[in-house]
Amino acid sequence: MNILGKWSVTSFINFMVQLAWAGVVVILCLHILLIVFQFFGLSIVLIDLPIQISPEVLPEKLSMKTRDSLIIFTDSMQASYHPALFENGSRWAIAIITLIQATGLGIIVYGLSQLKAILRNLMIENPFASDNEKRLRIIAILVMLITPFLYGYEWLSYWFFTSYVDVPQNLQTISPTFDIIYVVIGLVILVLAEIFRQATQIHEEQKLTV
Amino acid sequence: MTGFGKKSTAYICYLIVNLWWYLSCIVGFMLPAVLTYGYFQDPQSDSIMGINVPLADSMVALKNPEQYQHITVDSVSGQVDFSYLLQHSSVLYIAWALFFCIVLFLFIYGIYQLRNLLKASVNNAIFIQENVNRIKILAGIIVLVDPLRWIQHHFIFKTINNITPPETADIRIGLPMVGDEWTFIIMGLLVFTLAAVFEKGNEMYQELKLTV
Repeated sequence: MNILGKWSVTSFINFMVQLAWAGVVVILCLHILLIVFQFFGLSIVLIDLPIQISPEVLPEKLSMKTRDSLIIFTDSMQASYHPALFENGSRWAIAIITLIQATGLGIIVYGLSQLKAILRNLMIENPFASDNEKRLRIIAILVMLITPFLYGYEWLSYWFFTSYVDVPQNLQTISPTFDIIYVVIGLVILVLAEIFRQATQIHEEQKLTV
Repeated sequence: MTGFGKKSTAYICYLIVNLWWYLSCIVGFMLPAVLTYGYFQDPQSDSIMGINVPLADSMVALKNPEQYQHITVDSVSGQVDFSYLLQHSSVLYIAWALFFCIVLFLFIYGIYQLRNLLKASVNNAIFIQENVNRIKILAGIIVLVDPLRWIQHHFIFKTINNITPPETADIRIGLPMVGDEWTFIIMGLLVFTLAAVFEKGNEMYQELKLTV
């Protein structure tokens, strides 16, 4: 099984990344169109907003006791809501959400473009190209940005839900949590970028020696 | 913050992963002990632990749907109590505990490899064959994540569903085989590719050393 070059593991990954990139670009284009529509008074949001709901609104049978033993109980419920729920006068909220979603998609497209460029270099068996290290660094920073971006997006969604949606009294929402895993993944990619930089240096030295 | 050694990105990363490693070790010793204790304790007693299971879509209809227009429930997870599991199928409990211990071992082993890789980088021992092997092991463990999830869904959750009364709960079995369920396999292959590049770098470094 070839790892680098054409018809290799790299070309398979490149195909999958290309597919994901094309899908995200289509959604991004739709978002840009929607932002333009906002100027003509048309408020449409494609992607529903995430919200964590307390499981108390579920049917009671989900926390049932038999013979003093609890069979099953719900502990978390991930839901989503459409901004059509927003009450009148909140067009700016929809505009902000569309803009943030488009920014998020833009970051994903940029990250995938960088990954595609690295994979293309690997496919032509040129892994020690000097730009690979820079591209890896960009990917690392983008991955690290996911944590604050996602947290901010979920908080905004939570805030809009509690501020603009007329929710029934028995519906309890749970505030979003901070997930640090992407920061650690980003740091590991930064280390890999540094290894790439040193490998590129060795490659240059070897070329000069020859 | 470039380069390796102290006050570098690699060092910060090493500190975080090291902390993670020690915490994983504590959990790695505690959880098998807790699972063994759980097996021998009175099954009628209350248990605070259980197996997290995803619940079927049919179970997640809201109580008063007319009140929650525009709200869609995406996923609900529940917990099956250990006491209930021990009362009804102790074999399933043992199977699940073994499966869990294997997953835990793989996770700790992966963290151990990452820790050693970062430690070697901090000590400026980057281009060595051990590091290539470590990245390959990490890639193998990442590739295994998705198949392990499939095994969990198709065998363990299916059996739990069979012993749960239908009027009580319905567990979502099986994962869609498209979409993000392949993420870890792709990520693992990507890490494997990086290992191959790293191996090439290592070969070049050894050649350069011999030339000098």
